[in-house]
This record gives sequence, structure tokens and C-alpha cells, in this order.
Amino acid sequence: MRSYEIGLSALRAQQTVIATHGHNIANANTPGYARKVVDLAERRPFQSGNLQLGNGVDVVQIRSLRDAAAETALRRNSSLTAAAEAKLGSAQTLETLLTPGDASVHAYLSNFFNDLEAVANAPEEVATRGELIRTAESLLDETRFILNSFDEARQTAAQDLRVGVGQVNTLIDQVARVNRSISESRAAGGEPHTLLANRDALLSQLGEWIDVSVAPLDNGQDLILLGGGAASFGNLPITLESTTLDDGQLAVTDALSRRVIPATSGRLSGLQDVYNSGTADATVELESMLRELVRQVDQLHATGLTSPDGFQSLVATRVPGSADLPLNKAELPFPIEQGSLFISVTDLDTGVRSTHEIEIDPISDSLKDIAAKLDSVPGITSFVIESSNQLVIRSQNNESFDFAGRTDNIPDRTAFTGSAAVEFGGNYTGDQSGRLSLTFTSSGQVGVTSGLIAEVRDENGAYLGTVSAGSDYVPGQPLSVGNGLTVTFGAGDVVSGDTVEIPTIADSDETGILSALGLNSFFSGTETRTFEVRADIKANPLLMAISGSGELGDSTNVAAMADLRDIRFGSLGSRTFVEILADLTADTGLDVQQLQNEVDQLESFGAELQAQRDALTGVDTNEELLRLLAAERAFQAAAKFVTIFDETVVELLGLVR
Amino acid sequence: MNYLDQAASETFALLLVNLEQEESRLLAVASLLTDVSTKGVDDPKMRSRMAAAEKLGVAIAGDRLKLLLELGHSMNVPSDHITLTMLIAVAPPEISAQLRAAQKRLRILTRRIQRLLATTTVIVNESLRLYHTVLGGLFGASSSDRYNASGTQSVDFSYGSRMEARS
Repeated sequence: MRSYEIGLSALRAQQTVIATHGHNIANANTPGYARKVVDLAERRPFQSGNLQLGNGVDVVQIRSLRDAAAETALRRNSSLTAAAEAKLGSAQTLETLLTPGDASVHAYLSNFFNDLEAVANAPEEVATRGELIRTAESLLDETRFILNSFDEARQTAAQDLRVGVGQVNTLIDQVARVNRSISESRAAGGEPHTLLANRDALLSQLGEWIDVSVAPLDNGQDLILLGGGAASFGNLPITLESTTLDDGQLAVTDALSRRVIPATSGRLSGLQDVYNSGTADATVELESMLRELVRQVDQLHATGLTSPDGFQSLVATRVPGSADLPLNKAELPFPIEQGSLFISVTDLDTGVRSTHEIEIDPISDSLKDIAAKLDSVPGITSFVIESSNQLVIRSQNNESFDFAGRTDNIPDRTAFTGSAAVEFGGNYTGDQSGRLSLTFTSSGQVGVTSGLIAEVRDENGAYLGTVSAGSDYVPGQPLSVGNGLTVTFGAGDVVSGDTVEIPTIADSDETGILSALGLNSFFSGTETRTFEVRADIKANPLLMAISGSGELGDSTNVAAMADLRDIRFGSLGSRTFVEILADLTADTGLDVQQLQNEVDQLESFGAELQAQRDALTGVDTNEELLRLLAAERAFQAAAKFVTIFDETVVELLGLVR
Repeated sequence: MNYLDQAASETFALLLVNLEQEESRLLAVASLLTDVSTKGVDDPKMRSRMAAAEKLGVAIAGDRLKLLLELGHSMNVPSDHITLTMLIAVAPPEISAQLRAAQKRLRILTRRIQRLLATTTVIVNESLRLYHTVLGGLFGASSSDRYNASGTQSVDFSYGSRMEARS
């Protein structure tokens, strides 16, 4: 009876060993499968007299060769890799969009400034202006295309996140079900290797989406921690959802508790980064660049002239949300600062030009207040169209107006008693607004009296120089008084102490209100997606305000626009337009390089971890097969031995009779 | 009772030594068979133990055959008909007693070995069948319904033979 039991136990053991080998081979390609080995133990021998007799064999346990540390490291690695890959994909898209080339935003920006220079060099050529307009449109189109592509990348990331969260929820359901089976199996006293392998495979998939770890509990259950423990589940699943937070950021939250689950790794983390910061930063940079470019060009254009006569009517192309709210709350596309706006009114009959200063405070002044202030300027009518909130400025009678900051041609003669005419010309090129005065130091006849000179002083009385109107002067001849200004004296007498004054305007719009309201701007539109070259300028390039004086051949205004290329703007982090694009390209290139390196390193490390794990837990089918074949050969040898020995025993039995 | 001559006495003495050698070998084989049952055949030493037991058995059996041929000739009996009971009857008294004791030990041992053999045969054949089934399943080999001459089902290892060659 004992030998029967011995045989049976041996057979059971062999069967288990063989089945385990077969199971290993069958699952060689099963993700997450860990090789199993059978631990056998000889039963305690049976003592028969002096002999110790064998008593059979038991299967002590079937061990799954698992390495929890390696599994955790692999999950973490796969999670980090997935996050880096998601970010890399987005960064590569950005890099492609921002790669310099013939049809790139870099080229169009450069061409735009080149074309401005070309117009400045040949202001009379309409074709050159047409080329500038086409380049400006290409620049806007390309920038818009890039921004839209950024938007699409963000929306794709948001969509992928939603889909990913759905897949995560499915995996959570599956893991919870397996967890339940594991708990039941453990409660029954067994260690459920296959279930654990299945769960490892599911957790590996889950880990690619979100960082996941396993915390065993004392009661035999396992707690699955997500997002560093911000959410957890065991035998009952939880549901995650993608949520847009109040600050516009995209997040993953627990559907029940609404708690945000910080994704530090996994594809969900990468997609969140792409949405929240990846393209967002580049979008902000590019939008800032374009907005500043449009603002600066428009501001210069608004203070330029198309003809010496200025304008008789201007209608704002940009409108505030409210004409009654202070300007800083009126939702204008560009900010307005406190300062002065200088408007010049020219009597077209007499040619007399006078400058009027309007103080603007965006904290207290509404658009209607501005209209009222403009309306109070002699020769000007201004109002706000109620239906559209558009500011309208019109000249009265036969007058015109402009914001070119040209010097008053006829000075203030309040302190001048002589009969000689005094007229100023030119454009003030100084950098301080104020007043300029000329005071004759002696009396006499212009162009007759020897040594007749006038001192030039600024508003603080500081001496700037002298001009001579004595015997060597021909009346009507312009004399330079510095900073681009000239003075012309007519024949007549002057009295010692006679003084004339003119305002000098360094910046005719210190507030930026002209570009903010789109008054005589080059571009229309209120934001990066709607900026266009003004339609009437596109139709008639002669409407471009390329001049500072309005005189034929004067292209100082468009030259100033071309000079914007080399100016570093505080709003752009003290960078030029070209530099901000170059930085953006370099940054994305660097991001791609860093992320690529990160992915490469993680993949390399992942391969090492995989090899380490496989060395312990992986199934080598050749090895398993060779073990099976070697065992089969050994049993065949045993069979032969048994047969031969059986014959010996028969012979011996015959002898011992 | 007819006792054999002095020359035959020496043969009896040699036979006693041979039987002791056989007894030792049987004990070793019993241990070996027990190990096959309890530890399987994975241990590489198992095969060399079997080979050694087989080789020793051939040598002991060969020696014994010579001794039995001599004794058979003296007794005018064919060697394969000689039994220890017959030899005990004709052996000198001191040798006869030793032969009787050896006969008793060998009877117990051979019966035990017989039982072990029966168990081991079942284990080995059944294990072989299991291996053939698993290997057949893995390599796609087909198992015949017919039993071959050795009483086992034949299995066609069309791929297994390749693995065998490599192993």
C-alpha cells in the first residue's frame, strides 16, 4: 500500500512539474507572465529495522518568480517614458512649425521689414507698397496657421486625454475585478499566481497612462494607488474624468470626490503638460510677438501722413466693449497709458497749423470722455457712434487734422511786438516734448541790421544756440534751430526781447490710444487671429502713412517702422521681434532634443530593467523545452534500466528458490 | 547426503562472496529506485548511478554464471536449473548455513525490489506518457492509438527529433 502511495505521490509531482514547464512555455509571450517553478520535498523516510525506506514526494509549492522591485521600477519607467513620448510628439510638431525656411514665419517677418525698408527707399513706387502689403498678409497668415496648429495640438491633447481617461477607467475596472478574485483566492489560502500575473499586465498598461503603485494591506487585499496616492482603489473601481479647472488648466479628477489627481508620469501627465504648458507657452510667446508688432506698426502708422493736408475724417476700427467705462476696463486690444495726445489742426485756407494737447487718463477717462476732449479742440468735431462704440473725429469747415506731431508753423507771438513774420518748419526729432523759444537780443531790421540774433532756448530756459537774422540773412531763408526744426523770418523789424514760442512734440501719442482704437492704423482686427492689413489700404496702397511730414518723397514714418526690427521691447522681455522668434525656435529645438534624450535614456533603462526582470521571471522557451526533453530522456533511460533490472530480478528469484 | 569435493568448496565460498556483492548491489538499486520515485530523474547523477548499477550487475551476474556452471557440472545439473535450496543440500555444513542465511536475505530483498520495480515502472512509464503528451502538444506531434511492442503508445516527434538532436 505504501509503495502505491509513493508511486502516486511521485506521479503527482511529475505531473505538476511537467504541467508547470508546459504552462511556462505556453505563456512565454504572455505580457507580465512570470516563470513558475515547482518546489518538491521528499517525505520523511520510513524506518524499517536498520533500513530507511523512501516514503514518496510532495509538491511543497509552485513559486512564481516575481520581483516586486523590478515590476515597480518597470511600471515607473514605462510611465515616465509614456509621458515623455507624449510631450515629445507635441514638441516635434512645434519644432516643425517653427523651423526656419523660405515659407516660414521667420522669412515672412524678415521680408516684412525688408519691404518696409524698400518702401522707405522708394516711397513713390506703388508696386513696392503692394509687395509690402502681400508680405504683411503672408506674415499674418503664417502666424495664424502656426497659432491654429498650436490650438489643434492642444485640442488633440485634450481629446487624447479624454480618450485616455476612458481607457484608464476600463483598466481600473479590470484591475478591481482581478483584485477581488485575488482577495477571494487568498482568503481560501492560496497564492493566485496567474491572477497576480494578469494584474501585473493590467497595471503595466495602467502605468503607461498614469503613475500607479501597489500597497499590500494586512487583510490580504492590495490597494492600487494612482497619482502618488491622490486616488486609490482596491476591489471596487473608481472613475476618473478629465476636467477643465477654473484657471483653464486641464486636469484629471476623481469623478466622485472631484479631487484633482496630480499626474506626475504616464501619458495622461504628458497630455496635460502639452495642453497646459507645452503649446500654451509657445502660443503666448508668438501671440505677444505678433500683438506687439501690430501695435508698434499701427502706432507709427497712426502718427504718419499720406499727404501734407492730414485728415478730415477718421473712424476708429477698434472699439471698446463699452464707451462709458474707463479705458483700462473697456476691453481694448492694446493697453492705453496715462499721458498726452497731441492733435494738430491745420487751416487749409491759411496753412496755419496749431497743436492741441489732450490729457488722457485711462483710469478715469472713458471713450466718450476722449471724444468730448477732442470735440473741445477748435476746428474738430468728435463723437462716439452709439450703435458701434466707434470713435469718430472730423474736422470742421476747411480744416484738417493729424497726429504727426508736426511743429506749429506759426508760433505764439504773444511776446512779440515786431512786424517781421516768423514761421517754423521741419519735424522735431528730439526725445523730450516741451516748448522751444526764440528771443531777439537786440532790435533792428531783419536782413538789414548787423548782429541781429535770436537766442534759442528750451522750456527750462536752457540755452541751445543762436540764429542770425542780421545783414547777412536773406529774409525767407530757413535757418536750423536744431532737432530737425527750421525757422524763417520775413522782412520787418524786431524789438529786443521779442520772443516766439512753439511746442515741440517728441511723441504725439504718449498713451497708445491711436493704435488701441485703430485710428489710421495699418492693420485692422483686435487679436492675433483677426489681424489683417486694413482693407482700404489693401485696395489703395497710397493710403499708407509713410511720411512724417506729408511732403512728397518723405518716407521717415515707414523708415521708423523698418527700424522696429532692431528695437528690443520690454513687453517681449527686452528682445527684438526676430530674437523672440529665434528663441522660440531654439527653445522648441532644445525641448525636442531634451525630450528625445529623455525618451532614449528611459527606453534604454527600461530595456535594462526588462532584461533584469526577464532573467528572473521571463520564460526562455528553449530552456524550458530542453528541460522537458532532458527529463524525457532521463525517464527513457530509467525505463531501460527498470526493464534490464527486472530481468536480473527474475534470474535472482529463480536462484533464491 | 552427498557432499561435494574440496574443489567445489572453494566454488561455494566464491558464490557466497558473489551473493554478498549482489546483495549490496540490490540495496543500492533499491535506494536508486526509491530516489527515482521520490526525486524524479532530474538529478544528473541519477543516470550515472543507473549506469553504474547496470554495469556492476552485468559483472556480478557474469561471475555468478561461471560459478554456477562449475557447480552444475559437479552436480551434473544445468546451470540455469540450479537453486540455492539445491546447493544448501549439497554444500558443506558451514557453507550451507551461510547459504541459507544469504538465501533468506536475498528473498526479502528481491521481493522488496520487485515491489519497487513495479511502482517505478508505473511512474516511469506514466511520466514518459505525460512528457510525450506535453511535447506532442508543443510540437504538434500526433499520438497513435496503437500500442507498440514495448506496450507504450507511439508518438511521432517530427519536430521533437530536431530538438533532441540539438540537445
